[in-house]
Amino acid sequence: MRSALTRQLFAGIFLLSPLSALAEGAVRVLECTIEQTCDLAASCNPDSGDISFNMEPIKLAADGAGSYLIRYEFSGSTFQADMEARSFAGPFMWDIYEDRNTLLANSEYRFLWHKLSLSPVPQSDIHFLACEFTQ
Amino acid sequence: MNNKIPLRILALGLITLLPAAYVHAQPFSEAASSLADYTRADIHPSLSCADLSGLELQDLVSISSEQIPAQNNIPSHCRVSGMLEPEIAFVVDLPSDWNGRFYMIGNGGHAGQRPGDGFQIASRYAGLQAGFATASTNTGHNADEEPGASFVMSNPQKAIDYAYRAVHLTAVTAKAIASLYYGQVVSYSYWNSCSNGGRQGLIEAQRYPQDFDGIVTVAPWVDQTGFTIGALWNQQALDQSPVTAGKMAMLASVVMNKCDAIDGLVDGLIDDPRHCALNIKEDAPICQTGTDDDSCLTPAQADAIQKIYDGPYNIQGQSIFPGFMPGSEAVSTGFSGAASSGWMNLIVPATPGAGSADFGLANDTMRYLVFQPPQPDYDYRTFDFNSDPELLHRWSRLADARDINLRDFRANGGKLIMTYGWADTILQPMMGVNYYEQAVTANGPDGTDFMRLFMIPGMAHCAGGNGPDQNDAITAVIDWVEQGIAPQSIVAKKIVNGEVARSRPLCPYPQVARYDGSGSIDEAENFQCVAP
Repeated sequence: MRSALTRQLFAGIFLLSPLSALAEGAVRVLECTIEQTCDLAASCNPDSGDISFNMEPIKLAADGAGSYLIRYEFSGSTFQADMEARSFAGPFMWDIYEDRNTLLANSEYRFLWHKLSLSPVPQSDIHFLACEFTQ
Repeated sequence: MNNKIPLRILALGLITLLPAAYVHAQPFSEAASSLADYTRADIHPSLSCADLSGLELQDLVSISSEQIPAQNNIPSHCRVSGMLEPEIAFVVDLPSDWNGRFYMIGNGGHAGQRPGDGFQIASRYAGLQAGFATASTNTGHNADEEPGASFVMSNPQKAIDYAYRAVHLTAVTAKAIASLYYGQVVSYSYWNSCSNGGRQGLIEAQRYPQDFDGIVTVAPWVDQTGFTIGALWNQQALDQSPVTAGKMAMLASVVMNKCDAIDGLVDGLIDDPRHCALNIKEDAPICQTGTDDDSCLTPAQADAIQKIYDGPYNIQGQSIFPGFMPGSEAVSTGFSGAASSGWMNLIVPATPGAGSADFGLANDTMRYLVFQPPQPDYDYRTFDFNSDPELLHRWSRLADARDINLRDFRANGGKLIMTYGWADTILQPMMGVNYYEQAVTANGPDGTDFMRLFMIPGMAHCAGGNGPDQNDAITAVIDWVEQGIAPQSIVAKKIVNGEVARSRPLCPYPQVARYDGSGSIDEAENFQCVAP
């Protein structure tokens, strides 16, 4: 474990940089506005509404990948699930019953929310979102 | 959408990078017999203490340092006090003569003990006297300002900080500070703590396996949510059928008479209470109709007590969580000098209709940590044991230390010693046994090569009770980590008025201590660890 500790020391020296902004292990809130929704036929229409994704970290790697709990309200219901993050910027993936949800960033402020239903046949909804992390 | 943080800035950030008992045993008391010779402290600072007050580290809000001269057997040391985002207070004590190692202690209950509190200081000083750099944290809130679990009301982040984040960040920060101060990396890091501190230690092994090389987790609060359901169950049962201290003393006598001799020795200790099946309605005197004095239990009281031993179950009769063990109700002399059943005040309220200490802890967990947003007015009497356990799922994922995957910890050379008192009346000891059995299998088949459990007959929560409650598991884990010597047994002592009244070997589970048949039953040397 000494080599790991050596890495930690060097990490500690890197930590002297004043560039830090994201606190390691912080609760994150992604606040979004739905701008457009597309159906399985790739037919897209303007949409509206706000959605706030609350992400509570459980176990994270240094690059922000790891497990979270995600909680949000949508269409009058509250959803909560275990979520996997592949990096601090996503993709973020979680399941609600049979639906596979994926949240992808395509810029600092643009996200794509893909909801894939597996039953009875695969079909999806796609929401284009304008988002910002407020925590 | 105020205080927005663009992803670009987040990316830059990532480039940088009961309440009571925490350590009640006798850490470092066996240091003289350690083959690691860890008290040899011949490393000296390469910076001045004052230099540390200018450090800039990730998540660091403030930092100060002070050189403290040697006094009253406390060696000269540099004390570094600081704050990590948002309100994680920490203290690192750095001895002038260092053994190259790091030692950290945790927090009881819902934490919030300031690093400057007496018990925190005393626990750090124990490590300091042995040559360690030591640290502790308040876990992100101060209990004297935000009691119980109410800290989440001021900032939800504090729930995560309490659950696990504060300990990890403090450990990383403290080791970075120590390494800079001495000009060389920490060689080995150790954790030693009880109760919630035991939970903190387990989570470190599970989620941050590089933080510590050796972990002693005493009576760990493995399953905070399971405990909570159990405490609500007990409180609801006792609300219906209160029992008195006198009845509890009578029950203690009944249980000891039935269970004590099963292990072959009538010594006031029950080696493995699972071997004693209690049926309270058959084993205890039941009051005649119209009678309700301390010589007997009413049928309703017997039902309530049976429920506490059995633990909560649902309408299908399926167990939700283990109960407390026979022998935990035994009468012993507490720290106050008064003798009473181990259940009094902790499980059984001091006065009928009041809340017990266990219930207080559980009720706070429900009101502030389980519900989101918190429900400070939540009424525990509405808890439905068939449908409501799932309410606790979210908090379980964040705070329970139930992850049995310890592969990374093991791969890093980590060693873990868990101890648990069979007579614990705050945390149900079977939560430790069940976790150990699952984890040692999941990380096996030779799981005992890095993880061992030592059950302590007659010991209450962290310490106390009638059993031998003093031991030095930290020296055992140091020798295991550094010398590769796995503990075959650990000597435990019962100390009364400064004298060793009884000693016994603690045995690696599932082994038990078996009397040789000759010599005093109060001396460890007359016992052997054997398979049950």
